[in-house]
Amino acid sequence: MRDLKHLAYFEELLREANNALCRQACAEGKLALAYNCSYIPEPLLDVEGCFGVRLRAPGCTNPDLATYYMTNRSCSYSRSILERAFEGGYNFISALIGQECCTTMNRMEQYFEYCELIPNDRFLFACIDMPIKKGAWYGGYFRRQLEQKVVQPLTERFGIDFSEQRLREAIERHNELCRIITEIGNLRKAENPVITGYEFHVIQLVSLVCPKYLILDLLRETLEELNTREPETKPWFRARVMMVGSEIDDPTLTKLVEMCGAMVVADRYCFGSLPGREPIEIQPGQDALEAIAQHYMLHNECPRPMGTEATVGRREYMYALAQDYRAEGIILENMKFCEYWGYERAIAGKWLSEGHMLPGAFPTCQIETDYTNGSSGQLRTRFQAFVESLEIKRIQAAAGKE
Amino acid sequence: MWKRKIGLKEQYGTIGHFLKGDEACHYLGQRYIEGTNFYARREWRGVRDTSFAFAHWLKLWVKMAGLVARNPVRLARAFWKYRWLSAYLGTPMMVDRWLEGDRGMALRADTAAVECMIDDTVSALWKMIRADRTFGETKWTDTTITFDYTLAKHIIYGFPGIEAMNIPQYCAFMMPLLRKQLGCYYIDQAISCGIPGEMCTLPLLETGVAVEDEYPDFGNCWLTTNTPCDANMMDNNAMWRAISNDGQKAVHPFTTPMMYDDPTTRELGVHEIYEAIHFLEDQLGRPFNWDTFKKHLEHTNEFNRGSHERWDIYATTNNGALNPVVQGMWRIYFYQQGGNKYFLRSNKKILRIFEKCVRRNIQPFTHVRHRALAWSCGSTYNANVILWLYNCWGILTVINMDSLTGHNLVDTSDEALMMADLADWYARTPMRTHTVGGNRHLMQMWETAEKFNCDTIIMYDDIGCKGMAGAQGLLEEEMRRHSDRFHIIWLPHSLMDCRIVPSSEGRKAVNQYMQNVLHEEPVDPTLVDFDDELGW
Repeated sequence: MRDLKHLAYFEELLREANNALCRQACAEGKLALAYNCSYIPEPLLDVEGCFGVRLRAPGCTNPDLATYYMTNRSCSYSRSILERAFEGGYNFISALIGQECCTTMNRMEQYFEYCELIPNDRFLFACIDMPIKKGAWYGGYFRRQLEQKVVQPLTERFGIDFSEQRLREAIERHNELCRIITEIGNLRKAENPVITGYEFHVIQLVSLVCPKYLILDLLRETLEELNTREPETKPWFRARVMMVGSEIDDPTLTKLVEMCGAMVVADRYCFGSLPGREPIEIQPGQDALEAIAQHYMLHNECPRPMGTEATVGRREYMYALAQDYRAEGIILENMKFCEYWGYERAIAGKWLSEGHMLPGAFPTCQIETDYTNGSSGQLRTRFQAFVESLEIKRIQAAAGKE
Repeated sequence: MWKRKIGLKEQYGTIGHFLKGDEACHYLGQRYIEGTNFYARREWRGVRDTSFAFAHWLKLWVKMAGLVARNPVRLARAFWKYRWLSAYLGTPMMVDRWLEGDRGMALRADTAAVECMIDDTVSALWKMIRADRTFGETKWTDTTITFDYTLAKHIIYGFPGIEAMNIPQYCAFMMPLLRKQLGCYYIDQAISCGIPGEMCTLPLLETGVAVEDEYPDFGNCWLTTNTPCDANMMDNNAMWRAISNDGQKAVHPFTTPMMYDDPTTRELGVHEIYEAIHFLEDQLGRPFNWDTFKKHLEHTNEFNRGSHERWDIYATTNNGALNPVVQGMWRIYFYQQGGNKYFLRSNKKILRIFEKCVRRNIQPFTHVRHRALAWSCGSTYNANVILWLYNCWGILTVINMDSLTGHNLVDTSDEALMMADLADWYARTPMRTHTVGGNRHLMQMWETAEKFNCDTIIMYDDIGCKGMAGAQGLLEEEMRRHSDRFHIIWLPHSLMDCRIVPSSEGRKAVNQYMQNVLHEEPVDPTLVDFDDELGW
C-alpha cells in the first residue's frame, strides 16, 4: 500500500507532548488543559479558548527522578509522565485535570503541585472523585463533580466560557472527530483492510494529543485518502488480533505485533478508540454537561467497576468486539505494576480462553509491558509464537471441517 | 542468635524479683527454640502474673474446644475442607506472642482485649460453619450473608436475626497472624492464575482462597466494597466467580468515595448506604429496622468514647496499659465488628484498668525509652514486631495509623446527620484513611506524632503497596524536613508473604538504626538477633 500522506507528520506530532499543533494553539492564545485518564471528558476541555491534551512521554526510557519519587514499584506510565514533567516537557499546560481513579496516577498528578513542576503561577490542578459504579445517579454525581472540580475552577481562574452553547459546539466538534475515527477504524473490519493497526494507532493518538480544531481537517483528508486507497493484492498479515490493555500509547508496540505477522484489528485499551470514539448524544431534556457526564460514565470500560453486571459486561464487550472485528486471538496487556490491569488481564484471559459465560472462546496471549518497549525481543518471541498458534488453530479447524 | 546462657541468679538477682517477675531484663530471646519463635518453656512473669496468664491460656483452649464441641462432625469436615481453618489451631501460640513481656496492668488489659477478639472469632467461625452449604443446608444458611473484608457490619444491625460475615477476614487476613507461612500457599495459588506477583499480597491471599474454592458458601448475596485500595477492588472481581457462585448470588458493590473528606463527595457516601440498605431489603424480604440500627450505632459510639479516653491517656501520660500489638489489632478488629457485646464488655474492663493506672500513676511499660507512632500499613506475619520494638529497644508504639480509623462518633439524633457520619465511617477504613484522598492524609503523621508526644516514627514499608510506593519521594522529603524532631525508621515488610521480606529483615533495619545512628544498647540483648524463619 502507498504511504498515507500525513502519516509521517502524524508520527512527528507524536514525538513530543508539546508538538507543533499544540505550540500553534498556544501561540493563538488557547489554554492547554492536560489529562491522563479516559474518564476525563474531552469535549469539556475542548471548548472555545482551550484545548485538551492527553499526556504522553514518548521516548522516556530512564525515569530516574520519578523513580526516586515513586520507587521502581510504580507503573512506568505514571513514572514516565512525571519524569517528562521534571524535564519541562509539559511547561505549556495551564491546568491538569486529574482523578483519584488509580492511586498511582493520582500520586503522580499530585507531584505536579507538590514539586511545582509547571512554571506557571496560574497553573491549576483539579482532581475529580470518579464513582465506581455505573448508572443514572452516578452520572449525575459525575456531572456535579465536573461542575465543581472542572467547570467552576477553570471559569474562575481563566475565564473559560462553559455555556451551553460552547459545550454544544465542543460536543459537535468531538462527534465529528469520533465519526471520522470510527469510520477509519471500521476499515479494519475488512478481510483485506486498507489500513494497518499501526497506522490506526497513530491516527487515534494524534486525535488525543492535538488540538481538535487543528487536527480535524488532516483526519478528514486521511479518511478520504483511505477510502480510495488500494489494498495489498492479498492480506499482508497471517492473523488478526485484538489488543486489550492499559495505557498503550506507544505505537511501536502495535508495530511490533504487526512485524510478527498479526494485524491489530481492534484497540480496546486506555488510549484506544474502543471505547472512546462513540459520539455523544444529547437526549431531549438533557443539557450538554449532563450528556457528557452520562456518556463518559456509561461508555467507559475501565476495569475498576465491580459487581456482576460490570464484571460480566466487560468480558462480553471484549468478546463482541473480537467478533465484530473478526479477530482470531486477543492480546491482553498490562503495564507492569498496574493493579487494575494486572488483575483484569488475568481474569479476562481466563474467561476468554475458557469461554466462561460467553458464547465462545478466544485464544489469548497475556503480556506484561513497560512504558517503552517497541524493541523488546522477548515480546517479539511471544507474539511470533502466538501468531503461529493462531495459524495452527486455523489449519486444524480447516482440517476438522474437511 | 544469642548463645550465652543467662542463669536465674543473673536474671532475677533476688528471690523477690523472681516471685514478682519484675526483673530488669526478661531475656526473652533465650526462651526460643533455635530457628523459631516458639518458646521452649512458658514465660515466667512472677507467681501472680504467670498464674493469671496461664489461666487465661487454659481458658482459651476451653473456648476452642467449646467451638468444636458445638458440632464435632461439621467442624471435622470443615477442617478437612478448609486448609485455612487449621491456622486457628495456632491461636494459643499467637496469643503468647502478643503478650510477650507483659506484666501487671498491661497483662490484664491485653488479655481482656485478646479475649474479646477470641470470643468474637469463635462466634464468627461457628456462625460461618453452621451456615455453610458445603456441609449441608441449615436454618442459618439463608440468614447468614457475606460481606467483604473491610466492610464494617453496621447496616446488618438493621436486620435483626441476620448475620453478616466478613469472610476474607477469617479465611484470609487472619492466617499470617496465626501462622505466617500459611498465607504463602494461597498467594501462590493466585499467582498461578496469572495475577502478577508484585501486587499487594493481601488481595492475592484473598484471591488464592477463592482459587482454591475455600470460602464458605452461605446466604444468597454478597456485599463487596472498594475499600481500602485499588488492589482490593480488583480482587473482588477476581473472587467474583467463587463467592457469587458464578453469579447465582446477588452481588452489590458498596462503594465509598476516594476523596472521602471532600464535601462534594459526601452525597456519594450517603447514597451508597441507602443503596446497600435497599439491596438488603430486597434480598432479605424484610424492612430495615432503624431502631436496632441506631442502638447498634450508639453501642459503637460507646466503644469509641472509650477509645478517645484511652488515646488521651496515651497522649498525655505513660499510663496506657495496652501493648502496641494488642491495641492495634483490637482497634482494627473493632472496625469491622462495631460495638457488639464482646467489644462493649472489653471496652468497659479495659477503661477501668486505664483509669486505675492513671489514678495510681502506674506505668505498665517500664522500659520505655522512646515513644513511637507507627505509620502506613503494618505487616500481619510480622505483626508483633512493634511489641519486639518495645521488648528489645524500649520503643513503645503508643499509636499506629490503622488504629486511627472509624473513631468518629455518629450523631444518631437526626437521620441525615447519622447517615453522613456513617458514610464517613465507611470511607475511613484501616489501610485507607491516610493513604487515599490526597497526600495531606499521609502527612497527618506529623501532627499525630506531636499529639501523642512521640519522638520516633516507625514507617512501615510494605513493598507491595502501590499507594505508598507512589508517595515514597514525598515521604523522604518530608522526613528530612522533620528529622530534627523525630527519629524515623523504615521497617520493611511484605504484608502477607513472609518469604519476600522475612521478619528478621524488619528487625535488622531497626537494629541498624538503633546501633549505628542512636548508638543505644538494647533493653533485651537476647532479642537483637535471632532466627525465626521456621517459627509462626
